[in-house]
This record gives sequence, C-alpha cells and structure tokens, in this order.
Amino acid sequence: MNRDACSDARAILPLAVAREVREAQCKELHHHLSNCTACARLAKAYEQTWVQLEDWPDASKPWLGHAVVRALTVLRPPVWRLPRVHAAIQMAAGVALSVGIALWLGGMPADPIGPAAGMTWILAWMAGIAHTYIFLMANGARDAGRRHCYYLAAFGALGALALYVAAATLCPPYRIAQALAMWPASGEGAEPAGLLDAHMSTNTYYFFLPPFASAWFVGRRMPSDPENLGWTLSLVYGALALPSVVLQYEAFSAPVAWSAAIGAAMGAFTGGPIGMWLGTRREFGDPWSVRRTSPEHRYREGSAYRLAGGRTKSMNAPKAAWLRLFKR
Amino acid sequence: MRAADEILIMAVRAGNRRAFEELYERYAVALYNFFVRTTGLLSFGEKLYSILFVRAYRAAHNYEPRESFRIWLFRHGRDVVREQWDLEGYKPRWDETDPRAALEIDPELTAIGYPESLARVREALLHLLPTQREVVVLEKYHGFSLAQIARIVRTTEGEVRTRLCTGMAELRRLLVERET
Repeated sequence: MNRDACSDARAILPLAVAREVREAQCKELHHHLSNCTACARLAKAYEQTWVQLEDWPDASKPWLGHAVVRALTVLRPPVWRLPRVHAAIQMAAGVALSVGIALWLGGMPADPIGPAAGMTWILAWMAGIAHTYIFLMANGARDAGRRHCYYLAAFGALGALALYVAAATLCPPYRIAQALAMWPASGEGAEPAGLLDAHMSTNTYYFFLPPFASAWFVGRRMPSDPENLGWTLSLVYGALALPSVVLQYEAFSAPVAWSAAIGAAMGAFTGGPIGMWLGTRREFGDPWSVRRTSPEHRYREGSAYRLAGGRTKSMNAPKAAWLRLFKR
Repeated sequence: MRAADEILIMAVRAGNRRAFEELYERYAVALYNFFVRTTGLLSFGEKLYSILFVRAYRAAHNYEPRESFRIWLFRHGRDVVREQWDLEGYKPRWDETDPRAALEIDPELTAIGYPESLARVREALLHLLPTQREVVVLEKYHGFSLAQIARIVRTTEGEVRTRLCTGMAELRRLLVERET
C-alpha cells in the first residue's frame, strides 16, 4: 500500500461522492480503490453518508404560499432607473456639457498659457480627484462590507477642518494671503484675509461633503451598472458643489469655469473606468471588501480553523486566548 | 414556453408583478428547504423564506444580468439566514461553532411524524459548523457546483472544497461510524 497514494485518494473521496472531481482523477481513484481495501472501505462509508443524507426529504410547500406574493403586490416596486446610456456617450456628453457651460459663463480664457491657466489646471486636477472619489464611494455605498468608505470621508472632513484651524491659529493671516497672491480668479492678487475662513471652509465642503452626501443618499439606491451611477452622481454632485464655487470665488470667472470643465472631464475619464472596473470585479468578488480581507473574516471563513488544526472551539477563541494569557 | 429566470427578474425590475409570482413559484420550495435544513427549524424556515422574497423583490433593481438568478437568490438567502439567526436571538450565535441549541426537537417536526432516520440526519447536519453545513446542503440538496457555491457563500472555490471535505468527514463519523 502506497501511503502517498492513499492520502491523495482520501483527500478527494468526499469530493468524488459529490461528483466534484475531474474524470482523470476519478479514473486514478477507481484504480487505487480496486487495489486498496482500507481506502475502498472508506469510500463506501462516504457513499453511505451521501445516500443517508437523502433521509431528510424535501418539505412540502410552506403554508404561507401566495400570502407573501400578495403582500408584495401592495408594495410599489422600488425601481429607480435612468435610461441606460453607454459609458462613452455619457462621458462625451459630460465633457461637451461642461465645456459648453464654461464657454457660456466665462468665455474663452484670455491667456491660456499664463499663470492663471496653471492654477486652472491645478484646480482641474483637484476636481478630477474629487470626481474619481465619488465613484469609489458610491460603489462602496451598496455594500455593507465597505461602509468604511463613509467613515473615511467623515474623518477626512474632520481632519481637513482640524488642519485648517491649526493653520489659521499658527500662521499669521497675511502669510496665507501672500501665499494666495497668485490666485487668478480675483484678478487683483491676494484675497482679503477676512475671506480666508470662508475660503478654507468651503474647500472642505467642496471636497468631502458633496461626495459623502451624493454617495450616501443617491449611490446606494442606484442600480449597480456603473454607467448610470456615473451619470446620476455627476449631476447630484454638481448641484451640491455649486454653492461652494459661488461662495468661494468671484462668481463664474473664466478660470473657475474652465477648471470646473476640465475637472469634470478628468473625473469622467478616470472615475468612469474605475466604476466599470469595480462593477466587473463585483461579479467575481470584491478584493477591497473589509469582509474578505480582514483577519476576522479570514478567521470566520475557515482558514483559521485549518491553521488551528480544524478544531477551533468558538469564534471568540482569539479573545479567550488573550484572556487566558492575562489570567496567568 | 418557460421563460428564463433572468428574463423574469428583468421584468420584475420593470414593475411586472406577475413575473415575480412566477419566480416565487419556481423557488419557494427550494429556498424553504434550504432554510429548514440550514437552521433545523420549520417555523423559522417559513419566516426566513418570506423575508427573503420581500428582500429579493426590493433588491430586484440590483440584480445584474451577467449573473445567474438562481445563484443571486441563494446568495440573498444565505445572507438572510445569517442575519436573522442572530436577530432572533438564537443561541449560540450563527458564527459560533457549536449551535447545539438547534438540536432541541422542533415541535412542528414532531407533529409531522419526524421519522428516526430524518432525526439522525438532522442531528448530524446540525453538528457541522454553519459554514460547512451550508456548503453540504447546497451541494447535496440543491445540486450546485463548487464554483457556484463559492459565489453564493462569497469565498473561493478552494475554500468551498475544504469545507465540503471536512463537513463530509464529520458526517461520515456521525452517521456511519457511530452506527458501526
């Protein structure tokens, strides 16, 4: 009797009775079983087990029957969908819309390569990051295992506020004003120091609260195809972020309008594919999920059972182990 | 001609309640038996399947056509079991490894006869870890493949294979070796 062959055969016996082994493996197994009485006995025991499970027959139809369906018919189906639009068309429409608005509100930029344009590109880049961020949050919104996205946003907002308070307390206001002297939107240089509070607060608002609110109130109710998600969230986010733009800058100046347009385009082109990628990943399991990656999840889902010899007593075993350690 | 489940659920998404009735007819008994076998309790199984179908109706707009409807529904069913077991306050909790509380004889099972062979199988199944039990039930009674079960229980195929092997070994010990 070959011990390796026996252990290999015994490893797949339960799968063989469930018809979950490949044909080649099955042939090898049959060959081994015809030569090894111990394994053949074990195989017979597994087959008996599999057959005995049929002693629990299907129960008949539950008595509630159609009561459930009838109860459902009084509910309005919670279907809320926009027409499905192809992602490329949606992105093109988004870019055309934002560039059109920029042209309408601000006209063509007078000096497209001057320092004002540089600041515009920085703003656009920041807006692009914010739009990408919305997609990530909104995708997390539908999965209870990824609620940490919201915590991240909330702590991000609090952290930004704390940084602002620290900066405003520690730095003389005129220095901040000097740092903002290159600001193009005012056309005059530095913003008045008295506006700094509003400026920084609205920055915080612009980057954290609109993504948070749009993901929380809209994202989790949305259908899961990323095209529609992007379409609707862009609208909601735009509406939520508009007051901050108006409050912050000289209303609708050309650089601001251009930065919004470029930012929207960047957001569409970065957030859209990321949203689609996430949608695809969801079909095969989400590697970002807390539930899949946390040590607690791995423990619960069985790998820790094997590491512990397959006989871990309870889910509180790590906690119990720590308690025992302290008792000593 | 029998319409595919995926077509029916898309009709439900569009607001067609008759399509949902048809889906209910197809899956009520299967899901009910899944719940009864994973929890060991008839009345709880009834409650779970009603909760599941309400949830499935409400979540129909989240269904993605790329996925099999049957797998989608059973995945919701599996989530419902795990949530409701703990919500109902059954002890020990679902994720704990030794749900012997469920071994108490269910009076409704007694009322319908409760043959000894059924009792033995039920007791053996309830001795398994919940994670092993759901895999064995899905494989044996519902005919899912390992890959499909992996998608239902949200884990890898290898992990499902391991759970099936360890569960079957435990069942063999309880059902066959105990007899001999």
